[in-house]
Amino acid sequence: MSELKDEGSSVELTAELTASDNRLTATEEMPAYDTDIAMDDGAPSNAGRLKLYMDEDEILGLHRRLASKLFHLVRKRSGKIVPFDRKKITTAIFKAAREVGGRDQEVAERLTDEVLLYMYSETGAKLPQVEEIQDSIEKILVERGHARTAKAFILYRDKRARIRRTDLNASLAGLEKQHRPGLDSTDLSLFVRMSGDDIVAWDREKIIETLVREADVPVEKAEKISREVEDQIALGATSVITAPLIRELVDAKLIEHGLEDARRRHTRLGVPLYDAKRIILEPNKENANIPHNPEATNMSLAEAVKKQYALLAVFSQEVADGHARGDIHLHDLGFFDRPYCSGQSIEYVKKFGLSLPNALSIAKPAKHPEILLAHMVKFSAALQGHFAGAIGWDAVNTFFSPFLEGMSDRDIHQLAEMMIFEYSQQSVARGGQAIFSDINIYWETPKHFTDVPAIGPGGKYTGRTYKDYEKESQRFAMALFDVYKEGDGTGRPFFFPKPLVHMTDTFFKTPGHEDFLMHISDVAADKGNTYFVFDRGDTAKISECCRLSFKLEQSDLDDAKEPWRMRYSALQNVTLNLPRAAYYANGDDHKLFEKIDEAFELVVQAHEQKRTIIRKLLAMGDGGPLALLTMKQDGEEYLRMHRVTFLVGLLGLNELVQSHIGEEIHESDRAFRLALRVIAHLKLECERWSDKTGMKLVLEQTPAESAAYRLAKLDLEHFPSQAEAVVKGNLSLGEVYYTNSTFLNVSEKISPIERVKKEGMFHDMIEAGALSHIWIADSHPEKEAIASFVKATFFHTRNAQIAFSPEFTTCNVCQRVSRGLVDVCPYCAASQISGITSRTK
Amino acid sequence: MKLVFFVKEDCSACTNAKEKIGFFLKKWEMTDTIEIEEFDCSTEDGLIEAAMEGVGEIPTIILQDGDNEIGRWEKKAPVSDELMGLIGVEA
Repeated sequence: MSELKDEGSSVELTAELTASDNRLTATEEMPAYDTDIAMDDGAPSNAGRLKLYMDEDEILGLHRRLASKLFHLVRKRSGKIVPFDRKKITTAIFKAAREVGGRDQEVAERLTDEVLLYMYSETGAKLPQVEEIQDSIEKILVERGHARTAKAFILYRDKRARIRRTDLNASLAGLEKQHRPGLDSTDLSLFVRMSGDDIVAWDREKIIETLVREADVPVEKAEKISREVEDQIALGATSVITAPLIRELVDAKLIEHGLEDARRRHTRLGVPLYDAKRIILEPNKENANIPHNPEATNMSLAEAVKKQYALLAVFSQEVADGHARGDIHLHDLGFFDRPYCSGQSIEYVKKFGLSLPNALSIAKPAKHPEILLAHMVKFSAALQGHFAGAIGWDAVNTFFSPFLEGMSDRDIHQLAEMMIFEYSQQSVARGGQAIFSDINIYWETPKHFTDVPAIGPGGKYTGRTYKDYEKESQRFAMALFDVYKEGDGTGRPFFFPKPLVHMTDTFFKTPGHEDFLMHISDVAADKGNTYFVFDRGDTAKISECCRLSFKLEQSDLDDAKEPWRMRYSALQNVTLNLPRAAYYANGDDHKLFEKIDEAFELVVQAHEQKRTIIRKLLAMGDGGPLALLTMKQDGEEYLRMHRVTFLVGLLGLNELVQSHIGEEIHESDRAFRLALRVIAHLKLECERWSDKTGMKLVLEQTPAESAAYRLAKLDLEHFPSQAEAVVKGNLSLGEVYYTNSTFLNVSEKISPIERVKKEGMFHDMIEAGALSHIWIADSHPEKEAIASFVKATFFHTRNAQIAFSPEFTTCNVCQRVSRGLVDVCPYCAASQISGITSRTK
Repeated sequence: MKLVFFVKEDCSACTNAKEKIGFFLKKWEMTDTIEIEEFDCSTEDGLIEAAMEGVGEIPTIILQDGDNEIGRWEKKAPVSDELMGLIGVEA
C-alpha cells in the first residue's frame, strides 16, 4: 500500500470535540480519513483515534479552522521570528510522502492539521520553534501509521542536520536563507557562491526553475533531478558550494537521465582554473601575433568561451563533432560572431571621413595626408574589432596620391614611415594585437582606376583622374619600400602591414618598373616583406592577407568607378582535413572521393550556419553588435552580404596523395595528377554547392599553422598507423604537421622554379588566392636574381603569388639583428635571442 | 599537328572559336591533317589537362607539333591568316 493514499475503507471513528458550530456529540460509522491511509507496514494503528459524531467534511473543516488559528509566528533556528506558514509543514510532509510514493496532497493537509492541534495540546500558544514543529511532524506521522513517510522525513531531517553541523565560514555566519513565497523553506544551511560575486543560501527550487527555463526539462523531471542533486550535495561535508559545480552536478544527472539535448542547453561555458592561470601568466605560444598583456589575456579567455558557445549553440552537433573529430577545421571559432576578413578602399574614409556607430565624435573627410593616414589606421582598428582576420587596403599608393602633390621626397618618406610604424606598432587594438593588415601597391595606375575621378583633400573631386597622379603614386610606393628596407628601430623586418605588389602585363610596360622591381626584390631578399601578386591578362584582384584575394568580376569593375563601394569579405574559413579522407578510403579511389564529398558537405553546413548567425546579428542593425557593418554611408551596408565568399580551406593534399598511393606529389606524374584531380573535384564541388545554396564557395589555401598541427595530432590519435607514415615534422617530439594546403613537401630539395611552377599549376583552381613560398633561410640572394625569378614566374608559370622567406635572429641584449636562426648572438655572444621565421606563413 | 581546345559548354566564345577554326580547316581541306582534341573545363579531366598545360582562361586554343607548342590563343580564336601560316597552308 502506498503512503498517503486514502483507501476509503470504513472504520469506526470516535471523537469528542467541542465547537460552537458543530454538534457536540455524535457517534456514527464514518469512512476512514486517517490511519489506514498509510498502513504500509500492515499494522494499522488505533492510537489516537477520535470518536465523533459528525460527517467527515464537517470534522475536517473544524480541524482546519481551529488549526489555522493556533499559531501566527515561528522562531527559526537562527533565532529570527518570522510569520508562521502552515504550508511549510504540509510541503515537508508531502515531500517526505512523495519519496515513498505518496501522491495525495489532501492527506498531507489533514496531517498538518493534526500536527498543529497536537502542538497546541502540548505547549499551548507558546511560540513554536522549528525543531519542535519537526518533532511534532515525526510524532504524528508515526502515530498515524505513516511509518515509511516518517522514515523519509527523519532521514531528510537528519541529512539537513548534518549539513548544518558542518562549520560555516565565519564570514557567512550572518547569511540567512532568503525566503521566497511558495518555495521549499526547509532550512538547508548551505550557501552557494554564484557566478557573479554574491553568495546566496541554498535553494533547490532554483535548479528546477533553471532546468525548466533554460533546458526545457519537464517540471516533474526537473523536480526529481533537483532532489537527486540535493541528496548528492548533502552527502558531502561542505557548507559552501559554487553555482558552476551545482550546474555540473545537474548536467551529470541530465546525462544519467538520458537528457543529452537538455544537457547541451543547460551546460556552462568557461575555462578550467588551470587554463585560466596559464593564459594569464604565460605567453601565447600558439599564435605569434598575440602579445602577452592583460588585453591579450582578456581576448584569449573570451575567445575560449566564445569558441565553446559556437560549438554548442551556433553550429549543429554534426558540424561541431566534425570539427572535434578533425574531419574539418572551423577557423576562428572564438570569433564566430563576425566575418572572417575584409578588403576595402581608402576612398571610403576619403569620401565619408570617419563616422563610426557609437563613436564619441565624427571626423569630416581628411584635408591632409597625415590625417587621412590617421583615419585609415583608426578605421582599420575598428574593422579589426569586427572581423576575425586580416584587414586589407586596395591600391594604397594610388588613392593617397592626390594628397601627395607638391610634397618633398623627405615628407613622402616621412609619411611612408608613419604608415608602416602606425600599423606595426598599433598594439592597442583587439586583444593588444597589432592589426593584421595588408596594403596593396601598384606601380602603374590600375587600369580599372585609370579614368576614375580622383578624390582629394576634404573629400572633394580634384577634377583629375588617378592616372594624372601616377608620379606621386610611384614616389609613395618607392618610399614605402625604402622604409621596409630600413626595418624598424633595430633593423628588424616589419610584420605589418604586409605589402602586396601587383604585377600585371601593364606593370612590365610602365616606365620605371625595372627600378621598382629591383627595389622590391632587394627588400624581398633582405627582409622578406614583399609579396609578389600576379594579375595576368585581364585579371584584377584585391588581396587582403598573405594569400587570400578576390578576383574582380565585371560588377566589381563597375563599382571601380566609385571605388569606395569596393568592399569585400570572406565570411568564414572551414578547412578540409584531406589526409583523413585517404585514411578512411584505405586505397579505394571511389571511397576517397566519397569521403571527400562527405567532409565537403559538412563544410557547406558549417557555412550555412555561419551565414545564419551573421544575418541574425546584422538584422539587429544599429543596436546590434555588428552596427559598424550595417552603416550605410553610401546607401549600402558596409558589409555587402551578397558579395561575401565562403572559404573552403585545403590542408595536407601532399599527405592525402602519399597515403593513398604511396608517393608524394612531387615524386611521380601519377601522384601529381591525383593531386590535381582532388583539387579539380573540389573546385567543381564548390560550383555545385554554390548553385545549390546561393553561397559563393571558393577554395583557399589554408593559412593557419595551428590547423596543420591540430589535424595532424588528431590523426595520429585516431589513425596512428596511417598517419605516422605520412605526417611531417618530428614525431618523437610531438612537433608534427601536415603540409600546408597544396604545397609540395617543404623539406624536400626541389628547385625553386620547379616548386613555383608545379605549385602554380593548382592556383587557377584555387579561386580565393594561392601562394608559393621560396625558402631562403640564411642565404642572401642578389636582388637581380630575385627580380629575374619574379619575371620568370610571371611569364612562364600560372603561379598566383610568391614570397621569399628569410630567417633572422634578434638579440635581446644588444638588439642587433643577424641573418638565419642561430643559438647565440654573433655580435655579443648573448644567448637571449629571438628567432624570426615565417616557415609556416 | 594537333589543335587542343579548352572550352566549356556554356561558353559562347568557345563555340564561336570552335566554329571559326572548323570552318577554316574545312576550307583549307586540313580536317584530316590537323588532329582536334577538346577538353571541357567543367569536368575534372578538363581541369586537370588545363592545369597541366598552364591554361587559365577559356577558350584557350593550343597548336602543338609533337611535343612542341607552336601557337596559343587565350580568350579568343586565332586570326585565320596566323593559323594558316602556322599549320603550313599556302595562301
